[in-house]
Amino acid sequence: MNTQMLFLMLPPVLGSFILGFFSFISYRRVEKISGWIALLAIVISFFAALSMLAGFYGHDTHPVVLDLGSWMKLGAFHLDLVFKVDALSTVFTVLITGVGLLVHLYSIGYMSHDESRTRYFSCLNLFCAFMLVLVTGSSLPIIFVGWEGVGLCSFLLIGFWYTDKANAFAGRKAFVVNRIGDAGFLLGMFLILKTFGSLDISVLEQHSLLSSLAGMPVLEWIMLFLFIGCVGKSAQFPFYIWLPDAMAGPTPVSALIHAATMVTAGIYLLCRMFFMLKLAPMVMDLIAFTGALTAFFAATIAIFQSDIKKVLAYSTVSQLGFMVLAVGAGAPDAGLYHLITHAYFKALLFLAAGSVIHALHGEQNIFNMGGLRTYLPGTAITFICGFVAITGVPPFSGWVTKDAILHAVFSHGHTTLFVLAFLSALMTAGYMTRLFHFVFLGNPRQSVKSAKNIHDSPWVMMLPMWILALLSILGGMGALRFETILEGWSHAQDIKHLDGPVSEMTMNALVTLSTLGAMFTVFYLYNKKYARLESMAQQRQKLISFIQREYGLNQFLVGGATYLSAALSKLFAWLDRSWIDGAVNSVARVSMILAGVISKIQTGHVQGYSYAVVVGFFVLAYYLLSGGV
Amino acid sequence: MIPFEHYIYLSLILFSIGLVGLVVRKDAITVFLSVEIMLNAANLLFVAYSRVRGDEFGHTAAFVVIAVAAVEAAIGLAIVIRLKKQSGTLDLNEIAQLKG
Repeated sequence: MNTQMLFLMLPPVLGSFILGFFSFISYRRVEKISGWIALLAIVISFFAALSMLAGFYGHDTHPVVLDLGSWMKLGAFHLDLVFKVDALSTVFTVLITGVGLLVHLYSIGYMSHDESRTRYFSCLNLFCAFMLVLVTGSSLPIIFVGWEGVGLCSFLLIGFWYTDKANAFAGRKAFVVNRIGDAGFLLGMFLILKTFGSLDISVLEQHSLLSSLAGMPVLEWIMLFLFIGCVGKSAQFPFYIWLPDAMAGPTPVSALIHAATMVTAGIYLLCRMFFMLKLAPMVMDLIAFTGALTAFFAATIAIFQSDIKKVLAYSTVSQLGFMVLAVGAGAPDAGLYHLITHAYFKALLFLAAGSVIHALHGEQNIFNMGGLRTYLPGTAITFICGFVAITGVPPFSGWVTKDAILHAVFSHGHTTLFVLAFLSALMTAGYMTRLFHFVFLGNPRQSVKSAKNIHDSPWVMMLPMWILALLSILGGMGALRFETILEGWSHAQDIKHLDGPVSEMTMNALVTLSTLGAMFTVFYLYNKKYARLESMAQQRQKLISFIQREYGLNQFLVGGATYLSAALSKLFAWLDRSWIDGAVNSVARVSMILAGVISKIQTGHVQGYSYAVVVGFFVLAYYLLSGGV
Repeated sequence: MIPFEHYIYLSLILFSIGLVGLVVRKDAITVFLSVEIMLNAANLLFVAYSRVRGDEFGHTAAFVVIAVAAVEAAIGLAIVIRLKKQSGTLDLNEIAQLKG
């Protein structure tokens, strides 16, 4: 039993079970320290993850393995319960436990007045446990267990304050939409098993059939199904609809699950299966297109949102689109770098939003805020760090990674997608500036004026924010985005980067200048030309509310799904009544008819019976006497 | 001596008469009479074979058959009386309570 792995995987599981037990018993003393118990578990995992990470900087880059023996044996097929940390996984484990650690610490402050916080920390620990299973699984079923598990924890945490039905429905929506993706994942697994005979990733990587099947429909279908799983989990178009609703949960949950970890599971899967994905060019194009579309689409919606968390939610969907685009364009390493820096700055932005909401006693509408830079200086500064990172101001983390993606997309020849992504980047700068303006700048409005004693959050909440702020600023540095390790990984995957017609420097410059230009334009517009903007908005109120409602997509999908299931139910009810009941009734009727016919023998006439006996006797006698058996 | 085959023929004829009576006659008591005729035919056969074989098995058998016939007649007539009381008629074509 590898001790490193045990220290990585076990503490969150144990923490979750212990806290889960106490969430039923509700023991006052435990409630007070529940957060610290959960935090301790994650800290242990974090140090285990770090020690494994250190190993990958040396020359020996063998994966660390925890083999728990055989899991399934069905005839020729067998599967072992093996958890493996290789180059790709180690990056994720450090990210999960690291950001998880900070979110746990923050939650101790954020949830300090909540009476169900033991349950909260139990679910949070469980989430980390499942996420670790997901990224260390050595075969697809184990990954799927983690996949489903994080979906479950997402449901539990989104609907945490379930006494309000809206929250419960949001959790349900997340779970159901995820499930659609899961169906895709399952179909992909079935097809892989049928084609290759194994679900173990190391076996698949070396499989002899891979080269012969390159570009064949079979591989396209497999990767299409797995991508559907990714679409559900990583909130791509059209299955992103659960993510904005997921903001009903506590803000730290949004920071951890819907910014840094669960939503990145889809991208992890694509990278893990990249060895097969690169052999399915049509699906790669589809993936790139979906990513670009999602990025653009979500960014347009984010511009018109009035809830601080919703802006960040759509922003997350948009940034995930960037990552997916990178993978589809053949540059998964660029996607992974962005995933890492996004984890830093998006988690930070959510935590800062939580800090603002906490300070204003629950206000989330940005039009009721304003001028918070004087009341919440710490929060404002950390928010600025996240803000410059996400908009892509050089030389901060977001600039490095977003640029890498844009360059890769352009160089690999996807010009239209590049345009979409570029516009999305401009819009990112736009809506983030808008958000910053309405929340922190300007004059205090309604909720700020009416709230008493607005102050920065306690240290348990500010410390994680400061750490993430530092990471957002410096995250562009190679070390902080695990450059050495990921370069090793992408080298092993045979990922080559073309240079394209425009050199990286020129493109960098152009994109950066445009983004900064967009930022300053928006600043200017909101500061000086606000009245003009307002009147334009008034004129186009209908259009704006249409965009705000996701172009009606939500209603379309949910309504469509409801209509479909109602129609299917009616169809099956009819089939059941007419065919199945019919079949059963027919069997009964046949036997009754038969009985009716046969009962005619019983005439009740005794002499008739004796006549039959006599005839039968003669027949038998003839038969026996003629030598029959 | 009477040739042995004649006993067989007589027995056969008696049995056929009884059989036809059993099936054809419409009065219950006549049917009983036919059954008695059949039993007597069997008795005749038993005794005839006993003479041919030289042992007393046939005689014993005939005694048993006579005893059984007596018992059966007693019980059967009791049933007929009951039947007459219940249905008012002994016409076997009319009585069909076991129908269906």
